[in-house]
Amino acid sequence: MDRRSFLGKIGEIGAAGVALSALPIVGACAPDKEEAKPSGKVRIGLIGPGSRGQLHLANLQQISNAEVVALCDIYQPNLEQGLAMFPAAKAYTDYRQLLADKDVDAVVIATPLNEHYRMSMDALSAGKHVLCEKAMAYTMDECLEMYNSAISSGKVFIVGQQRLFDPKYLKALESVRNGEYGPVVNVRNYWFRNADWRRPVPSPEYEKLINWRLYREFSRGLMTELACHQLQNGVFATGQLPVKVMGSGDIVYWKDGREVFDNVCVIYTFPNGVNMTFESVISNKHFGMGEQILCKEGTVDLPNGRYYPEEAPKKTAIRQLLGEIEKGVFSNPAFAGTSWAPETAEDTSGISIMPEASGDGSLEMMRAFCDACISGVQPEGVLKEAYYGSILCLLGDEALLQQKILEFPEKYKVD
Amino acid sequence: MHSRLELLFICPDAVKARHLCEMAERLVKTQSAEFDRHNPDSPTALLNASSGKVVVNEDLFFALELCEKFRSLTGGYFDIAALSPDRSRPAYELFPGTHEAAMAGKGHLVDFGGFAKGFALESVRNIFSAEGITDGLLNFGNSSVVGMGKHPFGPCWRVRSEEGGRLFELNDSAFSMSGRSRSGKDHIIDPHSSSPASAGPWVAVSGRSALVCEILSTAVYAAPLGERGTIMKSFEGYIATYGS
Repeated sequence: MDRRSFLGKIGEIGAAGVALSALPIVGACAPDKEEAKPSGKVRIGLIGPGSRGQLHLANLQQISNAEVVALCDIYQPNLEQGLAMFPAAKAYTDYRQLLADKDVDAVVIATPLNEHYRMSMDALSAGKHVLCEKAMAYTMDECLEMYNSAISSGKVFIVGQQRLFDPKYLKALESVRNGEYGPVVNVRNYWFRNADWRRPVPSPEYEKLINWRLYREFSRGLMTELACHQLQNGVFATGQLPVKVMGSGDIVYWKDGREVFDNVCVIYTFPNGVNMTFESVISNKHFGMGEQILCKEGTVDLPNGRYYPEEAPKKTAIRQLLGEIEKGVFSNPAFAGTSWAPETAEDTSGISIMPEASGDGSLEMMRAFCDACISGVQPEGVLKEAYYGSILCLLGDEALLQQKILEFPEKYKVD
Repeated sequence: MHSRLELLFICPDAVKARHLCEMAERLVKTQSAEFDRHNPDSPTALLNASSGKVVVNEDLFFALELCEKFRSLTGGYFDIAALSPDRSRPAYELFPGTHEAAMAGKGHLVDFGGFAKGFALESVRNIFSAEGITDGLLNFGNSSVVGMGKHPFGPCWRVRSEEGGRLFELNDSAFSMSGRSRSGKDHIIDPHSSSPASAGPWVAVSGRSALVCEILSTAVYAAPLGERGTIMKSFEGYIATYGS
């Protein structure tokens, strides 16, 4: 099956009512399918070569069927850093000029959240394929309009939800969807950091340009920057959309003039009563980042690609003894017997779901985008999943701001 | 040997500890391959299949020598040829000058169950001792255990039996348990009757050598009650206890 057929199959499955089938994407990412790449090159213009934009550029340097022909930024240092990576690219300071460039087939948008809608819509109008960073847009209405426009444009539109392209996530979530670990009973997401989320500003007039994540006019804070990735997992895992959301957020520690919460806790409830939580604090990093699908028979740790069965095999005698020695205990473990019964030693680090997987899916996502641009086939299941990820994070932020339990609005459900 | 070897020992040098584990693993795997009569390419299987003299490697020759010696010392109740249809003994002849062995006939075969784990534990203990390891617990399949030196927080290594709560206190000593399998099956053969011995749930033997403990626990389990004391008398420093 060639890449075109692969991507086409994703679309067929999406249309059949399944939110997204992981397997075809895993297949599309598999190295042995690289031979089936469509021929040709896609000429890319990247808008916003800041930190995330430069990561995309680094990935594009590894993709043979991509050529970065244009870069755009209103902040000169970022533009120069991007040009250092692609010296032959044309430089723009107005994204509309980049969109008017006939040498550009596709654009990658890595700008502040509030610009996503306008730039994406303009890009589609200009006939460009689009990869727009997540979250999709600043409002749910904008997301819906972008989704519909992308579908009707016939252009490729991917939102930068790289987990949708991370083989270990896809493999794990496929197993969850297939019921291999029993029914999903809870979804836990958290992201803890201990930093002010600020970037150095050369002079005060650049504060909002550079630290846009901290200000409401540009950003919805932790919900759009972090929750977006994780909420999409819950929808993917359960195959359902939550029916309601509630939560609480505040500025607890970083009272430095920022406008977005530095501490949020949100609960989404699925139709079957299963809850999905998202917690984020940026003044304590002890537990780091976690995305866990709790099933009746085990727990899937998505970022680490590991599975922890509920019924852990018995510890071996020596392991028990070792644990006791580490606690300074002189014990007399009871294990002696006439024969040995085979047992699997407890592996406290869980079972690796896909040991060969590496990276976070960003490179695979960019590869898929380039291939899709060349083949002209939109992997629509991916867009739908990403759309719902954005809708959920925005709905969650609304619940935080309104301090109400909000129901999932019918108007934002898409076919 | 269809079992699991677990090693816990005190060694401040992590690189050395890993190296010792690797050495032990290699050694035990080699022995396991040599003593596996079910693998048609193993030295043991080739000996069983032979109809005349065959040259055997040093380990196998030594094992055959030891086994014959212990057969004699246990009144024939430890017998690696217990599964042979032919009950005539000895089941094999050894030729030290040429390192050859010859089975006594087609109706004889040797099986190193009841010997191999103890032999392996002694081999590992020797390596560890030679490398300066003084304290550790070596467990082969929960039925043969060696305690080298002492526990970091106690005067010895203590291990309790799963059934009956028998406590073994090991300090440069070992124990071995033989008896019915966990599934309740009598699998130890009385060499004198060629029938499965059924002498209670288990026998445990403790003493200096893991190999001797394993041999004795097999022998006394297979022996009639009246013969057990006689067998044990020949092995000073070894104590047998019996489950009920």
